Amino acid sequence: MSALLSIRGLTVRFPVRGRREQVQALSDVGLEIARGEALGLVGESGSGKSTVARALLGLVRPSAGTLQLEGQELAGLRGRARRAALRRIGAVFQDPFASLDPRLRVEAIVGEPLAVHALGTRRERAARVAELLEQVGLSAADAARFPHEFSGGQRQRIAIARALAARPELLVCDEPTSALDVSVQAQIVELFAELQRRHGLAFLFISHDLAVVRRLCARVAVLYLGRVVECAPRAELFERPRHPYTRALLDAVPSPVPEAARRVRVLGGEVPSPLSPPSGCAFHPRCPEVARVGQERCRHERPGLEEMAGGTGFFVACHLHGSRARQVGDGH
Amino acid sequence: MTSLLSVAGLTVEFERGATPLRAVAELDLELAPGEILAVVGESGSGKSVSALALFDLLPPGARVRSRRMQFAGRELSALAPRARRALCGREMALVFQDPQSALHPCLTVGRQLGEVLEQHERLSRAAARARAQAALESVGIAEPARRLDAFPHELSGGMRQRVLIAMALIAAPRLIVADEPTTALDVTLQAQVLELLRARVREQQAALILITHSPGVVASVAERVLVMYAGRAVEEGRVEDVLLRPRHPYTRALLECVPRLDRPVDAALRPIPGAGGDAGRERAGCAFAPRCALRIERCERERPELEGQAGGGRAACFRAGDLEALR
Repeated sequence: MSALLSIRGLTVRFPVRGRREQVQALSDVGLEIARGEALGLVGESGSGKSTVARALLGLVRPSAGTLQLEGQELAGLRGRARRAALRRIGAVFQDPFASLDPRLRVEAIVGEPLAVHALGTRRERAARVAELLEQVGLSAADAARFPHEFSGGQRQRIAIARALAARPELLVCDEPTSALDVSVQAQIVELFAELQRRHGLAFLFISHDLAVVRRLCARVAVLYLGRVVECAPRAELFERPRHPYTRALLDAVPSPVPEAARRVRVLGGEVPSPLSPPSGCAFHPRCPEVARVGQERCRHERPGLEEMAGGTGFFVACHLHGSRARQVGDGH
Repeated sequence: MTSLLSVAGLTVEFERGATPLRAVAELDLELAPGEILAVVGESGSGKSVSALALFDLLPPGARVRSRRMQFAGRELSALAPRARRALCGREMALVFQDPQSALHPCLTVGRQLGEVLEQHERLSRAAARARAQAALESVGIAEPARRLDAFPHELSGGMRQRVLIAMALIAAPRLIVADEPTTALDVTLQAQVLELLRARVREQQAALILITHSPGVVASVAERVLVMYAGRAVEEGRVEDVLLRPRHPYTRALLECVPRLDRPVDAALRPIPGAGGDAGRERAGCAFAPRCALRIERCERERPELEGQAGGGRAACFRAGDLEALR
């Protein structure tokens, strides 16, 4: 399978003011997205989710690793080549109040990518803007209005129309529904589902809302302290999570069924500071399994991301599961 | 059981043009010590405005009326501003949603926590500091002594939210009102913060009003729930009843548009048709009628009152009785 997007060994370090050492936001992250596929990226704040998106959009420079769009390296591109490559990637961010210029009319906002990439004549652009607005559930007449005339959900539709303007193949969405009311969130989630179905768009969908990710993404990667700890098809990840962290994340989601909701298990602690990551498996200080079985190895040796036995395309970085999988493979 | 908080007919209007904007209309609230009430609804439903009205924190343009607004037997609206301020913070505490803006960026955590005590209990700086440290410890913040000297920006979002909760709880209030206290947090921290609030209510027999838009949060914490739409209570009852057998079409629609982990993977979410129920635009009939799949002609003319339903709970809907049959 040739991937649309292929990220390998992505490592991002940031300088820290007043310190000599750097903070490592992402370590050796590898992800692939096929054409038309939606990959979800989940993890707590501080896990590095947004840094993946920012590296992809050229907003932060990778310290190591490659980001390839159909074989073309994105990192290090400059000028016209960079613009041409970025035309193929659209982006939608969390806050529809901050991401739209309040002084521009919707027509100028949505048409901006067309202008930047010099696509079409002025008249063709106006027609495209009208088409885009209708595609995201607004009306062509909205083009003449300003962002403040719209509600949060409508503004997010405008931001989505802008992201789609230059006909990208991949849409990078960073918490696109987190700032919205539940009913509006449902509308936007279903809009994404429709875009995927009707236009074969690929998605990198970043969210801390696991239920939203489950609705939209066929595959999900779980990030913890800058590393992928599990990556699996949706059915596997949600039905049979392997990594204790994935399980803890799922257990923390309260169900709207009262009896089930009271069984929520609380994962203690917070994501540790990336300035002083724990030794061994970064999750070991919070890991309920380590507390239970007391694996010395988890404290000293970092588990690599390994494909689980059976070759079903799911990957886990956990000593406890690595060994178990091998045991099964060895026929014990 | 005697009420700790008893509110009747709370109405809040904002001056805007010729006709005032009515953000909350005829709201009743009853809360006993040790009770947890969740208030749910979309933005603009009036849930935050109601909370701010209790604490007298609305901007000057707001007009607050009520037949009764009693806290521990005292009528809040009859208190002098100074007496009311003294009550707020000590006996009734408010936890804001956004820890980013609710903490003063230029003061250390210790100063901000201590201020509550210096203000209300006239403690010395040193005594206040010791209490502040204990308060941080009680909300699960590691190295509390060191964190006292930290500025808000030096803390993670989860820690800031816990500082806000510590601040609200430090004077051991009898009523805690938390406005979306976990909306900005990860699920893991949300679970921690909810557990913390629940424990405090249990230990201190405090009462908690939890404002949220998440049915999951309601289910995991509250015993009773009040659903608001366009400034009015539309349904009220035990959490089990309201979440599993909603009587108001709005409650049902709200529950159906929330993504859930226990639904089939390919089940589409069902957004509520039409635009959100902004309070203020007073109409003759039911405010939800334009978006309601069950509307009948009567809903357009007449506003349904919040009425007791068979099997417990109250709902403001002419078709509440039919909803069970339509399930």
